[in-house]
This record gives sequence, C-alpha cells and structure tokens, in this order.
Amino acid sequence: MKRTGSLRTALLYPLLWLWVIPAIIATLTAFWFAGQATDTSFDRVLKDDALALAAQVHWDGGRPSFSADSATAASLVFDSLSPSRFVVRTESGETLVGNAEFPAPAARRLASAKKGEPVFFDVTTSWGVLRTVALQLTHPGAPGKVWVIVGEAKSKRDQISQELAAAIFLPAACVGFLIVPLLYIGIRYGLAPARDISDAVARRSIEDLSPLPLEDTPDELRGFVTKINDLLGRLAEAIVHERHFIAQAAHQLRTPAAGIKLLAEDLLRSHRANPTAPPDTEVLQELAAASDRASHVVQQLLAMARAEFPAASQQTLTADLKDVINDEGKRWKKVAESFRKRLVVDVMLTGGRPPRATIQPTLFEEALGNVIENAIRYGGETITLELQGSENEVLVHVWDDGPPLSTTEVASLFVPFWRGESATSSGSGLGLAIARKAARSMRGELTYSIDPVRRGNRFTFHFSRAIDNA
Amino acid sequence: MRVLLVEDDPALRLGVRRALEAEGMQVDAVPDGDQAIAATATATYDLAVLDINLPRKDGFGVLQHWRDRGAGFPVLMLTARDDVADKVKALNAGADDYLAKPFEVAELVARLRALLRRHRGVSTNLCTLGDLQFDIAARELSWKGERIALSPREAALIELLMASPGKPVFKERIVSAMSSWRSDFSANAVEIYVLKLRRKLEHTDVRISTVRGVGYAMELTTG
Repeated sequence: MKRTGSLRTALLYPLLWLWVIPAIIATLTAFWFAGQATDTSFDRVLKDDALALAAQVHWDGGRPSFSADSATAASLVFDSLSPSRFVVRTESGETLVGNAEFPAPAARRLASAKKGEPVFFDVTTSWGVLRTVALQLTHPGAPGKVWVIVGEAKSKRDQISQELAAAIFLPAACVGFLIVPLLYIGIRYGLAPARDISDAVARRSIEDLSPLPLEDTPDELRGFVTKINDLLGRLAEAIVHERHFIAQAAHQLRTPAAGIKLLAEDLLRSHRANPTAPPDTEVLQELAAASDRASHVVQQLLAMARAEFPAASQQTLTADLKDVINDEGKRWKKVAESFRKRLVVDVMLTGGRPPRATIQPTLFEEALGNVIENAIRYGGETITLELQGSENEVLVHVWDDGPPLSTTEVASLFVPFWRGESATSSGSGLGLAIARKAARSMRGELTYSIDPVRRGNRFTFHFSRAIDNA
Repeated sequence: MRVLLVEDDPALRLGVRRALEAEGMQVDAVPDGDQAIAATATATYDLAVLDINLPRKDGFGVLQHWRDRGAGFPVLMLTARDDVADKVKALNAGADDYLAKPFEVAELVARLRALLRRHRGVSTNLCTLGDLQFDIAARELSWKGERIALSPREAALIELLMASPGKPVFKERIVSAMSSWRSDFSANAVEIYVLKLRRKLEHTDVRISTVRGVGYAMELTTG
C-alpha cells in the first residue's frame, strides 16, 4: 500500500515553498535594485569628478591646456574610500595631467560616446579593475579633442554591495527561520479538530458504535464525520443482526446437540454396563435421525447466510423458468408421494412469449425447493406448481389446498426461526425466510396469499420478465 | 418416582427418558403440549420435565394450564435459550427450576431429586428408619452400614415407602409411581415386590406391614 504521509507534512511543504520562493525572488530583486541604485550614485559622483577636471581644461587658440597643477587635479578626484586614477589626454595622445600610464579606453567605447556625454565602463589596469568614466571635450574652432578619463577602484562598490547583501538577506533569513515553526504551529492548531476526532475514535472500545459528536466539529470536517457516523450506524445494525442470527442459530443447534449427546452417553453407559451386549437399535436409529436433523439445520443456516450474501461467483443468467419449474416438479413429485401427497405442475402462459427471467439458478432452485417442501410438510393433500407469465412479470406459484394460515401465522411466516403450530421437530423455521431472502437477492420477491378462487395457501415468486433477445 | 417428560425433539426425548429410567425413575414421554395436558389428566406424576418450545401449545401454556388447575407437582423447564428473560419468565410462570440445553444428565437428575426433596420438605437424599438407610441418589439400601442389594424396582418401592416412614402408602399410589405407559405395573406386581423386600429385610429391625384396605407402611419392629 502506498504511504501518503501525514496531512501536516502535506500542508507544511507547499506552504513553505509558497513562502521560500517569493522570499528569494523578492530579496534578490531588492538586492539587484539596491546595487543598481548604488552604482548609479557612484557613477554620478565619478562623472562629477570628471566634470571638475574638465572645467580646468582651457583652449588657447584651439590648443588645449590644463590650468591647474597635478596636486590640485588629484584633490579634485580624491576619494577616501577607494583610490582614484585619472588622465586628461588629447586625441593625439598628449597627457595634459594625470597618470600617463592610464590605458586608453577601447576605440569602440569612445566612438560610441556622444559628444559631451560620459561613457562608463570597467577597465583592467595595473591597479586592478577600475570603474571608469570617459568624457570627450571639444572646443569650437579647435581641431582636436580632449579626453578626461577618471577611474576608481571597485572595492568601494564591493564593500557597499556586501553591506547591502547583509542588510537584505540576513533579515530575510531570520524571518525564514521564524516562519517555519510558525507555519508548523499554525498547521498543528488548524488540524487539532481532526486530531480530536481521531483520538475520540481511538479511545472507543470495540463495542462502542455510537455516533461521533458533531457539536464542535468544524464545517470542513462535518461531512466527513457525518459519513463516519452513517457507517457506524450501518455497522451497529449489521452487528445486531448478526448477533441475533448467531444466537438463533445456536439456539437451533442446541436441541439436536443435546439429543445426540444424551444418546451417545446412553450407548456408552450401556456398553460399560455390558460390553458384549449389542447396542440398542432404538437408540442407534434415533441417533442417526438426530444427526440428520442437526445436519439439516446446519445446511439451512448456511443456506440462510448464502441467501443473505450471495457469492459473487454465483452464476446469474436469463433463463426460461418453464424448464426450471418442470425439473423441480419432477424432483419434488417423489418426495410428495412419500408424504402421500400429490404434486401437479401447471404452466399458464399468455402471448406465446417464453417466461424468461434473470435468476441465479442454484439459488432459485434452493428457494423454490424450500417453499415446495414447506407445502408438502404442512400444506394440503395436493400441491400445485404453477408458472404464470404476464406482460412484465413472471410468477411462480406454489399452491396447496390445505386450510389457509391464520393472520397471526401469516404475520410471522417469513421471520427467521419462526415455526408454525403444526411444525415438526425436524424443521428449523428457516425455509421460507431463506426463500424470501434468495428471491430478493435476485431482485425478485416472495409473497403469501390465499388463492381468491380455490382458497388454500399460495406462495408466489415474482420476477421481472427479461427482455427477449432471441 | 414417576416423571412426565414433554419434549418435541425425538432424540432428546429418548435420551432423557432412558437416562432417567437408568436412575430408577418411571418416565412417560410426550412430544407436544396437548399430549402433556392429556397425560396429567389420566395419571399422577411426581415431577415434570417440560420443554418451552413445543408445537401446538408451548411450555408456558402447558405450565399455566397445570397451575390453573391446582397441579402442584414440581416442574423443571428445559429450553435451548439461556437468556435471563426466559429464565425469569419460566420461574414466574410457576416453574420450580430451569435447565438450558445442552446439559449433563447428572445435573438434570440432581436437580430433579432436589426438586422432589424440596417438594417433600426434606433436605437430604438419605431416608432413615432405625438403622436402615436408603440413599435416594445412589439407590443404595444399607442396614447398620451393611449394603442390601436391590433391583431397580425394589429400590423404587423402598424409596416410596421410606419417604414417609411409619405412615401407610396407598397401593394405588405405589402402582402409579412405579408404572409408565411403556411398562404397566399391576397391584399383583406390588405384592410380589413387597414380598421380595420383606425377605431382604428379615434380619433387620424394620418391617413392611400391610395396612388392610389402604396399602403398606414401613415401620420398626421394636416400635
């Protein structure tokens, strides 16, 4: 069986992922935007440094010169956090001020720069990777151009970046550590009613099938608990029914068991008193008869169980009941004769359609047999087995010409273990109950009526007429 | 002791009848309530063993019939049900005891003897007259501790006579108690068994005297 795990885990993991993924995306985005803003700010400062240097460039007759000395120029780009390098260089490569070894930016970068617009880029130098801004200066009438290039070490930006990371990721991580137990506690609290129901069921004894209380059950679990209560109700009903049946079955078996025990003890007692004497024939005969009766009761009890819960393996088919009735008629004719009674088979069909019905043949034969046997044992001198077909129904009547049963008897006729006034000791009181249960398990019915014309007792099996495919 | 057994199951009826007969009881066995009522109309019984679940008229109906007509003999009811409600119903209906099937013969016999003792107002199975003792349960007669061998019929006669020592027992009562439908016991047979017992008691201080026109009484020769 596949193990599905706990509901708590099933809720915790999705909720955790729902929190972790957006939290990661949000912090990364925040970090990126903060980094971008910082870079832009530093670039602006760098640009200001370049503009400050550019302000010191003068044009004399179209020739550029730098009006301040090197120390002043260095002070214009001084930064306490990261060392700066700079150069002011003509297009022809003449250095007006600054670090002559500052490498010239790639031509493609400078070419893309519009006149007067600063160009930012990273460049690898002997001082390391520098964030650099290049500013092109021109002068009306002057043929050449001047480049003001200022670079600063990226250490300042890296440090700020680390500080930003710490400021953004650390609180997020802390909240994350706090969120997990909070989610766990929340889920646990939310699932408490389900746990209470589970505990209430676990605390119960095997005998307690009373419904679970619904008063404090949340709406989401109310339907579930109602279904459990329905199940408990059906279970209790089935157990009561089963216990009653077992008690009745035990009751039915006690009498033949007591008789067999006494007769066996009698034989033993006689044998001990006189080992050479033959056993008493009367005792032996009665012992055999008692065993037969006990065996009959056991068979009836099993038949009752079969009728109540027909095996899935029982073959269900659409059969012509005329054949079944004729076969059963032949089988029971001899039994009727042994009781000095007469069994007649009469098939009354209308419309020429075969009387087909969907039955389980073995079960139906058993049920019909019980009703016929009942009529032979307790009914009149003549028993008639009749098959009647109508538009929608197929009816099988077992009619006997005995005196009709009293209203009291009719009321209890199909009650398991009920035995009539004229019942013999061999009857278990199960025959008719088995027959009715069998009929119902085949979606049919078994009823009793007094024949309106002939009087007597009439038991009728009702089955829906099967649609003829043939 | 004559017992009426009312039981519809043939095996149980035969088994109980034979078991009780082996204990020296005379048993008439009938299969239904109607026959049970008919039996008590024609014979006198010391005890009845009555099944509850009977065809035609059930055990409760039969018991009610007997008690309504003043029949006071003890009745032990037999049933396949052993729930308390049935026991209470049986005892309330006038039964003196109750036994659930299946049962041990020894228990049935012991209960029947106990019922009979209670009915006769005695508390022991021993009947004593002088040095003569009869153990009802063991069916043994002894004088001064010495056993006197008895046939079942002789034991049944001694049991009747020693139930009320010194008092006469009607001959008709003896005939009825020692008869059953299967073995009729005549007045002449009573005389023969009295004669046999007198011979066996010759050496004791107890005698069976004839009470003319009434029956027999057991008494001490010294009295």
